[in-house]
Amino acid sequence: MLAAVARRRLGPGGVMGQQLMQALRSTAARSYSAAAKEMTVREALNSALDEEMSADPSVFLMGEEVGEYQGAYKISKGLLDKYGPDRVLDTPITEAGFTGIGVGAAYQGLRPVVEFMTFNFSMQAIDHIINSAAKSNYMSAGQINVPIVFRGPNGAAAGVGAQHSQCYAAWYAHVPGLKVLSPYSAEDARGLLKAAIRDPDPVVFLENELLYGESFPVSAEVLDSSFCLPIGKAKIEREGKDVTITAFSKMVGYALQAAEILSKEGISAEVINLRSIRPLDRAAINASVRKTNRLVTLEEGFPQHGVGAEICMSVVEDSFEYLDAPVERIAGADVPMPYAANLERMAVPQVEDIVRAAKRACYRAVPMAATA
Amino acid sequence: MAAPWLARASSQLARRAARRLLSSPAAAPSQHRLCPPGPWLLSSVPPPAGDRRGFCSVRRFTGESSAAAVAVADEEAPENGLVAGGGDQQAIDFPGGKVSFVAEMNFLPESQRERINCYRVLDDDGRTISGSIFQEVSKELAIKMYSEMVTLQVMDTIFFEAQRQGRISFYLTSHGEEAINIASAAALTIDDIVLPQMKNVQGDFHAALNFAAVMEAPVIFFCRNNGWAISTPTNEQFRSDGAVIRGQAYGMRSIRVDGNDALAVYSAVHTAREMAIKEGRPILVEALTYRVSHHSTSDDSTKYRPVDEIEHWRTVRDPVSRYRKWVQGNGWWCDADESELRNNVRQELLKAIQVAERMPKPPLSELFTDVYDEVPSNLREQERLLRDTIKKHPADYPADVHI
Repeated sequence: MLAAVARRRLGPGGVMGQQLMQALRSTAARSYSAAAKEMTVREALNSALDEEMSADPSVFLMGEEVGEYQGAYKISKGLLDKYGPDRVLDTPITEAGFTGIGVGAAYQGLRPVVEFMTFNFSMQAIDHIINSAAKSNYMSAGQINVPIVFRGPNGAAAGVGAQHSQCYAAWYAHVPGLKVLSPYSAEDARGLLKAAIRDPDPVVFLENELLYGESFPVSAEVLDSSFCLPIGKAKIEREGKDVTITAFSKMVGYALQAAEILSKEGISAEVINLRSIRPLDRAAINASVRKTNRLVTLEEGFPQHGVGAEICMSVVEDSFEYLDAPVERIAGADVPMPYAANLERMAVPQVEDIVRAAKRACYRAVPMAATA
Repeated sequence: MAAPWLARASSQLARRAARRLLSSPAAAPSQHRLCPPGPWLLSSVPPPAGDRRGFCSVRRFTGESSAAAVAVADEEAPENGLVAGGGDQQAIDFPGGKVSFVAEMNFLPESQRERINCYRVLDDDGRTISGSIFQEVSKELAIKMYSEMVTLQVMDTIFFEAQRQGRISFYLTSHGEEAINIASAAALTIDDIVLPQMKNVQGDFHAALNFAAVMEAPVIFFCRNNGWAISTPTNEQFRSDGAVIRGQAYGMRSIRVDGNDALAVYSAVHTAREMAIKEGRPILVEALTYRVSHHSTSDDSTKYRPVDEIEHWRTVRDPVSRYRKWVQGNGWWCDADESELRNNVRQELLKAIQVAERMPKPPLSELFTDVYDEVPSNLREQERLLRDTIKKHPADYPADVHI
């Protein structure tokens, strides 16, 4: 029943999807501290930007449509009015151009937040992200540090086609000199964006368009302007003892749904929200696998050379003798994202895929033929 | 705490924002300036300042044209949105400014009849061309410039040799281009930020010019056109009239200068700098020259161009000797000065190489520092493992890496 409901989630109508998410989440167990209010991821990002810009005059935002349009996804709503055109810059359409300018500004001591309308467009600027930003501290022997944040939606949205749906987590996490973060909840969004802006190194901040409208409970601590999450630390979203499921961004929600289904079948899954792709919290991942002895890695992006491959290797290196089953890897299909809605649904992991993989890791028999 | 340039930049941005507000119909409809009626010739009357819209929004544009219609109330104000120009021409205000209509197809030619002309001050024999206008230099500055050009020449020769001897791994020389290197720098001050690149024209060149023009940034874009990109000559690289012609395409003031004429380069950059600062605008300077050297120590350019062509530019068109003739012509330099300078420079450079060669190479820890602001735990771990391995297998590791 839940599986069928989850499948419909990617159909047309984001509102329908949102309502379903709300319903499903209320049944999934989560460990949040006593929450005073709820906040969407969009509000979380907006408030984090606002507070960091208020606290530090060298922080500024630049990107396409971030100012007068209030942000392509309204993440920067109200910021132009509050901080003016010196701090919120609408740029011409050239990612190579404005990313280069942002990196140059960071060289000179400013703290730019560069927005990509989606990370697919960051490929136009990737030479600056990697060669001008990531490597500068090293190549200058510590003389040129680059306190810049590159942020924007990453991964699949809904029905936007192959050139607008790719996940770049593995691409950027490959590069020494970059830090790569990917929030799931509103708490993650606030805490990690603040940490990214305050960090002296270049940070790639991978958001998710479909999560912007999602509401999450936030505690008073999270709402405080000094709130900050540490970079490089994962969060155990749900404790378990039979199998570890690692995930980031939107897939964390799917993993939690799968864990709920699994718990009804007697399998206790531990869900790790990675939060940080580089540096990866290898200690937390390995500690969990040493406890559960089974691992399922989950990501939306392409399988080959993906985040799951790195996590698997980390566990093989550090905790091989603790594994009781081969590591299961769930990723998107190894095809450019289809445009047809029915095929798109087949190209990204679904909750049932996670449930089946967890069961395989637990040696529970599952029928090989997929349900239609 | 903010750097002074930041204050300047932010006040410029504030002025620009204010200007945008002032040019909107809500602020001052009666002051709205009409564009002069067409036609606009290719030699280009620049559009009036009020039309410079930057990133225009449809809302503001519509408002302005209705204000225009009001302002021309005593002339014909047709309801179809057309604004009457002079004579039979009609003009219409599309976003971006008014344009005149023309009843025949006017394809702009792919090239002008004449190339953009090139500013020079000194003839090939180092004499100032009569009637030439240039920035005066003092004896002190002239000698300093010349000495630096000679230093660069000697340095290039010595370091090229050092690479051939295996003492350094790679080197790029600037033979034939010394005037550009030195004279352009001489026209700047120590506080000006210089961002040198060896970058053949790529995508972000275009983004940078466009951005700078739109943002009215006080930047000099100095383009050295030496005729080659490794083995690719310029006519296989682009079909436009060099780089200078592109400035106007981006709405930027530009000049072409003889890059082998130190005085011309100095004057052009000096003037460009003044314009950039006083008028708050970017300037494009294209310096034409010839790359006498091979592209780098990894290149043998005799494979793709005639040796006598290289020789001609190396001797007859040498910028260093051309400038020396001018300095000598002023009575500021003589042969004795020349041999003394070249000897001193050579000794200094050889000594510098010896000192550098004796310096110890970086220690092992430098392999792992400065990837990030703080060394992360995984790199500390890797360093520990590496040190362990070196301790166990010292013969497998080079002796010159200081542990």
